[in-house]
Amino acid sequence: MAGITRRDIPFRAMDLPPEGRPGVPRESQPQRAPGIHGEPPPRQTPRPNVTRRADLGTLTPVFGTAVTPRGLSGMLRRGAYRIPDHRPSHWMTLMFADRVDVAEGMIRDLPRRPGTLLLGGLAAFLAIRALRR
Amino acid sequence: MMAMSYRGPSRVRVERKPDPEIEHPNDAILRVTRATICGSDLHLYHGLVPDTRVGSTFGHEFTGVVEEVGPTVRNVKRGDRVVVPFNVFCGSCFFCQRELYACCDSTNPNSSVVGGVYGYSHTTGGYDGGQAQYVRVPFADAGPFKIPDDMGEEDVLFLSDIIPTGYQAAEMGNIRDGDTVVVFGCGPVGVIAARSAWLLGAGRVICVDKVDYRLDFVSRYAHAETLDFRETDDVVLALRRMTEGRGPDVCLDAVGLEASGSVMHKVLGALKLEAGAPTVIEWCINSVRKAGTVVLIGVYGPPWNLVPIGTAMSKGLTLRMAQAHVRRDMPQMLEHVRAGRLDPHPLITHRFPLSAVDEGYHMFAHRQDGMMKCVLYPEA
Repeated sequence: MAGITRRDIPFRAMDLPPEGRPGVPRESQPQRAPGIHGEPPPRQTPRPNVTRRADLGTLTPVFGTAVTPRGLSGMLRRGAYRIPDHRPSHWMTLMFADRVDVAEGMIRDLPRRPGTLLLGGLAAFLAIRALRR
Repeated sequence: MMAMSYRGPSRVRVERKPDPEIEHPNDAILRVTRATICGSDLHLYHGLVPDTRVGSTFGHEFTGVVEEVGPTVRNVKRGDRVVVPFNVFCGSCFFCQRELYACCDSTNPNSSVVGGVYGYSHTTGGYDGGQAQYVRVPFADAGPFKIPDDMGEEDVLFLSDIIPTGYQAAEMGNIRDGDTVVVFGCGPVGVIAARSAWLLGAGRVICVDKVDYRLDFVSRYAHAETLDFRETDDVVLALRRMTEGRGPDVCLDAVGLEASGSVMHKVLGALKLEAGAPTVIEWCINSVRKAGTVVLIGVYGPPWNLVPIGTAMSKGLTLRMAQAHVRRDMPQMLEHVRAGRLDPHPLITHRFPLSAVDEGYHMFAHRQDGMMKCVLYPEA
C-alpha cells in the first residue's frame, strides 16, 4: 500500500521475541492439554460399518459417524480402506467412490423431484418403443 | 434438526437430519449459534477432498451453547457459551502432549496423516460439522474454549480457525525483525497471515492475488503492498524486482490446491494426475530468497503434486507446513482480538440464515459481491 511504512503499524514486532510466540512446543516438556486428567480416554462404543485404515487394529477412542458407507460406493470405500493410505490406489479408489456416491445420491433424490422422475420415465418409455420398432 | 447436506460437487442443501447424540462419555452436544463457510470448505464443495460422502454436513468454524454433556465432562457445563477449535483432539496422546493437536492420534480412524476435523470428510474422521442447528463435540474437556462474558460470538468465532491458522502461518515463517514477507492468497487466512506478519516483526508485507476486491481489502486491513499477478508476465520475477533482485525472506502459501496461474497445473489437476494445482508452491519456492522460508498453510490433497523440490534443496530453503494446532494459540489470539490487533469484524461481509447455505456457498465460490467471510445463523 503506497505510503504505508513499518512505522505506521503500532503493533509491529509485538510478538517478535520467540518466548512470546505460542508455537514452540518442542522447547517445552510434553504435558496433557489444559484441563485433561490422567486416565486414558474411554472408548466410544464400536458401530458396524465404521471404516478404518488398513494398519489400525482397533478403532480410535472416538470416531465420526456422519455417513455410513452404502451401496456400490460403500463397497468401493471398504475396498479402499483395505489399502494402506501411503499408496495412491487408496486415494484413487476413494475419489472414484465419491463420484459413484454422487450418482447414487442423484438416484436416491429422484422421488424428491417428481418432474425429473416423470421426464426420465417418459424418455425411457419412448426409447424402448423406438427400439421395438 | 436442520443441517447443511452435501449432495455432490457444487451442490448443497439444507435438510432434516437426526439430532446428534452423546456417543462417548466425554462428548458434548452444542446448539450452534454461529457457523461460517470457510475457504477450505470450498475444496469439499468442489468434490476435491477424498471420501467426502453424500449427506455429510460441513462446517469447522462455529460457536455454540452447551446443551448436553457426557458423564465424564468436567470443563464445560450446560449453558456455557463456547467456541470450538476445528481440530477434534483428545489432549492426552503423544501428539497432544506436544501441543500438536492437529496430529491427534485418538480421533481419526481413517487416515494416518491427519487428526480429526469437524465437517471435513471421512478422511479426517467422519465428523459432522457445525453448519447445522446442533453438533456433537467429542473430547469436550479438551477442545471447547469458553467465550468470555464481555465478548460476543462474532468477536471470537474466527478463533476456531482462520485467526490461529493465519497467525501460525506467519509464525512458521520464522520471521526476523525487518523481514520481507510475501503472502500468496488474499482470502481470510491470507489477510490474517499478512497482519500477523507485522505482529511478528516483518518490515515489509506484500500480498499476491488476482481478485480486485481482495487486494483492496488486504491493502486496507493489513497495510500490505499488493501484487495482482494478472498484471505481470512472471510473478517470480516481479517479486524479485520488488526485493532488490534477491527475493523475499519468507513466502506463505494461503491458497492451496485450487490455485490459478498455471494452465499446466490446472490441466494435470483436472485429469487427476496431481492433486489440484500446486502453482503457489512453485511460485513460493522459485521466488523466495536463497536460504529463505516457505510456509504452506493452504490445503493440498493426496496423493502427490509436481513441485520443484530440487530447487528448494539447492536454495537451502526451510519448508514448514501444518494444519493449525488451534487450541494452542487461542489464549494469545483472544488477546490480539480483544485489543483490535486481529480484529475479526471487518472480515464479516455477509450473513445468511442456515436455510440459505446454498446461496452462501455459491457466492463464496464465485467471489461475488465482495464476499470475504460468510457467517451462518443456524437458529434463523
